[in-house]
Amino acid sequence: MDADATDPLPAEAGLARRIASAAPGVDRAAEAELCRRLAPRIRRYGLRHLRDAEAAADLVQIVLMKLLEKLRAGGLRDPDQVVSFVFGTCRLVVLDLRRGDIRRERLLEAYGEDLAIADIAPPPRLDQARVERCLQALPERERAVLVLTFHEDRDAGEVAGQLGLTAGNVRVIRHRALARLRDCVLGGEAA
Amino acid sequence: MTNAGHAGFDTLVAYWLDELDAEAESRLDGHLLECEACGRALDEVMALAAGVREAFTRGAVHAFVPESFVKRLEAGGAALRVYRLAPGDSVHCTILPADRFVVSRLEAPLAGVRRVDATVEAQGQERQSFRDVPFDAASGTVTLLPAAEALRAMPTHTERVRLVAVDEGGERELGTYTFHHARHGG
Repeated sequence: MDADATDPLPAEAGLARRIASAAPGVDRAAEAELCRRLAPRIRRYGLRHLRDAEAAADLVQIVLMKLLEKLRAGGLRDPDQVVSFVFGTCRLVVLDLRRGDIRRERLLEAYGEDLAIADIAPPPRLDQARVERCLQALPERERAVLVLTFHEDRDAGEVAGQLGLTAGNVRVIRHRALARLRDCVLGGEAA
Repeated sequence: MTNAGHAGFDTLVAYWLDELDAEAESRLDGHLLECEACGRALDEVMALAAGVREAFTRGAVHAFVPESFVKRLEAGGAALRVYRLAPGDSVHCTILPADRFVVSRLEAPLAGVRRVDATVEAQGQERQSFRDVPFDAASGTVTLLPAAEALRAMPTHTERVRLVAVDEGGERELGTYTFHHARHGG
């Protein structure tokens, strides 16, 4: 990865500084904007590591509240490190959520109305009817690999074991199948 | 990662499926918290995955699958209606409202076979043909999960599935299987 993609995030850092400098007051606008920017990214992390939409939503709420508490209290020495703080917190909270140490009910009691600021747009969805037409139009082996893969999110090794293929072979078929499906669904190609 | 520093589509698929090693996964975890473009690309991967899952789960598409996958569906509590046919067999079949999937387990002499094609005929006319379908040579079965949604809408009718082995020498019939489908409630 090069510098273009990993530059510090001036917008997030700037918002973090505004929140920190507003203490003991609260800069609601900066908080809401920071949450709006970070929430989808935290949700993705949660979906990947928790595999559950509700748990991912919990993660978003918990991490953002921890971040805001830290910033309001002046506890984040370098606001440029806001994303690093979020990353570290995501890791810890995912462990807690997996252990069941954090309960959404307790959170709601603790933070009440503040949680509303973390409301975000729902994740994007595709035109399902189109997905189905495009999936149905794939060659048999490609459709089988996609179904076996995504029905329960199984890796290439597991799918290969079920189909009597090598993992490399499954990756090749999966790559081709996803490329076709993606072109068909997103590219507007009639299925 | 690509030259532009962004994660490629295949890398994001591998990430979603937990195929990356711990170091690469952690690097990408961090990158995704910073890079909105890669985050949106991951959204696309997740949306495609969810679309495939939903299409299959609600019976909108058919699939030829291995026996092990059927066992997993069963273990997951899915209500399955299973028909097992040897070559030349016929069966009276249907799909009830409570059935999640219908499983057509077609036995065939598959030892040494490299490719299997299937055709579906109704009223003497070929309706569908399927090229290079997955099969389980060890158990000698080709397992088809028809699209339950389409099956529910089908009128009472008879159709024949024909399996052929394909190799350099041409085609060899493995068996024909006749389904007398009765529409539930009609």
